Amino acid sequence: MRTKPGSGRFGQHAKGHPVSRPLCARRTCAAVLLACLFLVGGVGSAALASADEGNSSSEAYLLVQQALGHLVHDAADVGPALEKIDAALAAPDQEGVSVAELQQAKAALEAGNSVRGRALLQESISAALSTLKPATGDETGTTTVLDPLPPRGGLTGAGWGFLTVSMLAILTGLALAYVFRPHMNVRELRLLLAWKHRRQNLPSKHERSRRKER
Amino acid sequence: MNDEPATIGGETPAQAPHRSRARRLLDVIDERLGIGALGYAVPEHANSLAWSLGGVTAVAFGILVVSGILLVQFYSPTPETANQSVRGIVLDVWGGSVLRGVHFWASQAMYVTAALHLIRVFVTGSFKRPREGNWLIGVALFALITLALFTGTVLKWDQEGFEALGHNVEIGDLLGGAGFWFSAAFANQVSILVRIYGAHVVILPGTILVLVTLHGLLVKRHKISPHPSLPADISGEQASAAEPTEPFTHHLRRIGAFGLVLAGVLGILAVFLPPPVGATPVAGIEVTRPPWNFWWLYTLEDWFGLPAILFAEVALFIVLAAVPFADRSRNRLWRRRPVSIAVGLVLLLSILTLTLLIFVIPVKEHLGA
Repeated sequence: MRTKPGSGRFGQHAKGHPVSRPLCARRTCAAVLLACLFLVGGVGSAALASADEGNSSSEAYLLVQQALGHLVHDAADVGPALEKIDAALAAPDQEGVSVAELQQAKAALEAGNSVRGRALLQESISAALSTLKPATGDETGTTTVLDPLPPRGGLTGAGWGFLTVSMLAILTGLALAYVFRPHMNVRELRLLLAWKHRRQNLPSKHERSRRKER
Repeated sequence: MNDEPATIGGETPAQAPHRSRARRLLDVIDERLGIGALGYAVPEHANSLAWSLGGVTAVAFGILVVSGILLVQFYSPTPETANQSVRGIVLDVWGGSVLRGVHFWASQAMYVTAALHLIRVFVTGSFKRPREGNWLIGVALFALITLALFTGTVLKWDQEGFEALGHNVEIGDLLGGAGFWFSAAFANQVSILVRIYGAHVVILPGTILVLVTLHGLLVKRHKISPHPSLPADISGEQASAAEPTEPFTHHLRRIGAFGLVLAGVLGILAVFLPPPVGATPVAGIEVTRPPWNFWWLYTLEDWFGLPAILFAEVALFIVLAAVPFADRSRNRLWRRRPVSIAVGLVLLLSILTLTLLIFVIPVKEHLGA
């Protein structure tokens, strides 16, 4: 008698040679281990393959943006920004970058005028930015490097309104949580269940009276 | 002519018990929608806060969905405008700052309550037979919550979000073919931000919703697990029949009360501690730290390089998924499971230590290193 491909083996496996649970568990563990090793090996080799990929940019306008990024995050430390400006001045692709303004920006930063330095840096790449296409892939799409949004000011009327509603929600929630609280905590439940258990094991009233009669 | 009086449930209208209009309305709805199925019995011990954390997580998810629906009305998911649109939400939309704050803090609350729920289930042994499948769904949900948190970080499209994305792209490259979706090259004609946005507003919440529904249905099917310090039934898999019960609707009522407290706390946090919006992103620099939820990975990355993020995440979720298969004893009480509790404690302490170590580790460039 012919069997369907695959189903015969599976049927035989299940009927003829029942696999014991520990053996089955060991096989599962082995399969999981193999899968992990495969994943780890694959990932590891991929990591090694990508380890020597650099991050340096040859486009001057990108390097200027990086200088701006450093200044936005730490205006007091102009060192990293100056490094990026030097790299931009030495970059092979300076299309759309005003080298004169870049040099002025460098001078301003070296003189400690980071506000003017930032403005000049932004100005120096305006030509390059005007030719940018809409961002695709993992491009930033950034044209102007903006400062982080300043933290909130004082409370407005709406802020007070939200606060009041929030406080009311907390108070109502707490009151409802109290009203709907469980009738018994775990300790009380433990005592109740122990009492029920004891009562269940006690002989019935009829049996007790019979014992007394004896 | 039929002169017998009409009866309701074998009683004449005069004999029928007086029922309020609201009750009658509920009965009408129940008859058509079957909401009465929610009234299944839940053991009394499940009404405590610790055993309601899953429900509180669901409430946080609900707040996230509602606030997220409102936020997408004002958010623009293109790289050129994303950061500006977030600033617009904060500065120009009435209540926008609070709305964004509630969304941000609800995501943090969801992460924390889901983690606490996971820990509670582990400590009380609630993952044991026959609830192993539901534990795996819970672990998958935690992974999805982490991903949702990550994608949300990217959407504000500031330096922090862009650097987080950079890590994600490089991890996608490390995975080779398996990481194709995370690679910018997968669909190079659109910005990866648009795809991350799609994942954040559709794929992830949709999958979370499906899994949460399955999670809830399995809780109903397997019933709430017995409390480890209370006697269970003969099988050891269910609470004792002698334990008092309450309808699940009462459990929901209590979760609703906790949810109201949570919503209030989120509102206060949103007003006093609004989430920041960083500088517009610049490629090729690394000057920020990730959100606190990923600090432990940042420390590992600092020591062992970027692949450590991937290895650590994969290892964590393999360990979590292996829990019900490694701890197979019938004991639920933590004192009788010293090995698994010790392993869990070591894992938790390791993550906490790595998280705190970020304060002594300087910001360093990892991308493309």
